[in-house]
Amino acid sequence: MNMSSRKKFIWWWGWNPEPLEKELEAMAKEGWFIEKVDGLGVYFTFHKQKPKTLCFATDYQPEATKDYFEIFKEDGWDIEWSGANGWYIFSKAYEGERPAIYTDKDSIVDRNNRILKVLLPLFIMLVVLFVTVVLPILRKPFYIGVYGVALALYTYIFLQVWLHNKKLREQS
Amino acid sequence: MEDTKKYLPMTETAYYILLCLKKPEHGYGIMQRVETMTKERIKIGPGTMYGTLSKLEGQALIRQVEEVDRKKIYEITGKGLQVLTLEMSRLKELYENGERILGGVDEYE
Repeated sequence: MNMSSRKKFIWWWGWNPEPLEKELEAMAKEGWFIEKVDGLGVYFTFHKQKPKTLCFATDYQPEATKDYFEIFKEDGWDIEWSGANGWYIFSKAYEGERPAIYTDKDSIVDRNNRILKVLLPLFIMLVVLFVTVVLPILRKPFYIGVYGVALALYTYIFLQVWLHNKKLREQS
Repeated sequence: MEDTKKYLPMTETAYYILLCLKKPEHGYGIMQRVETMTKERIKIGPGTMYGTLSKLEGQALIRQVEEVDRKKIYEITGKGLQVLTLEMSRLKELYENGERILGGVDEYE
């Protein structure tokens, strides 16, 4: 077994990346650093180095320009991963106060709205297909079942992002 | 004419960005200036900075003047200045009312 390499599956939700960020930080504290990540950002390969205190931060910015990366770079953040059409994981070494990439509620609400904006057309398409094709034409329990699961998952994600935003708005 | 009041009240982030952009500046430059100006009370993170700059540009409160070394340099627009002035009067009213009442010279008492 290779002792300097380790693979790990870490599931996380876009509206709540904190568990992922905490886990990556804990890994870095033990000396495990991201070497490779799959396209979805859930299957991580780590390699062993000297332990370090790193802060991780996740962002969704489908309209990132060169300026986006400049601002992060100048503030000392490195890109650990980018994929899934606009998702990024950044890291930054720190001592004392933990840095953050989002420092006000409004901009987190805006980030969540960007997620909703990309989910909405797909969600509508899924519902329309369900009503016009799957239910009346395919009619097989298998298809309806598979589709039902996809719809339920989408509804769950949608509701979570929306509720998260509602909570943030009420706090301010 | 467009109602500039709809941009109020502003977040501290947006307020300070507009204020800093009286002179052309780029995102990271603004982050540093705000940190100094507020004695480190407000630190704007890069995600918030980029998002707010895009938003303010979309609302035409700031505009890009040039691009140097991949960095976008922005400055405040006439409309931005108008909104900023309006926000300052709102804050002034808040402050003056507070001072009058806590200072014990409340003429409405």
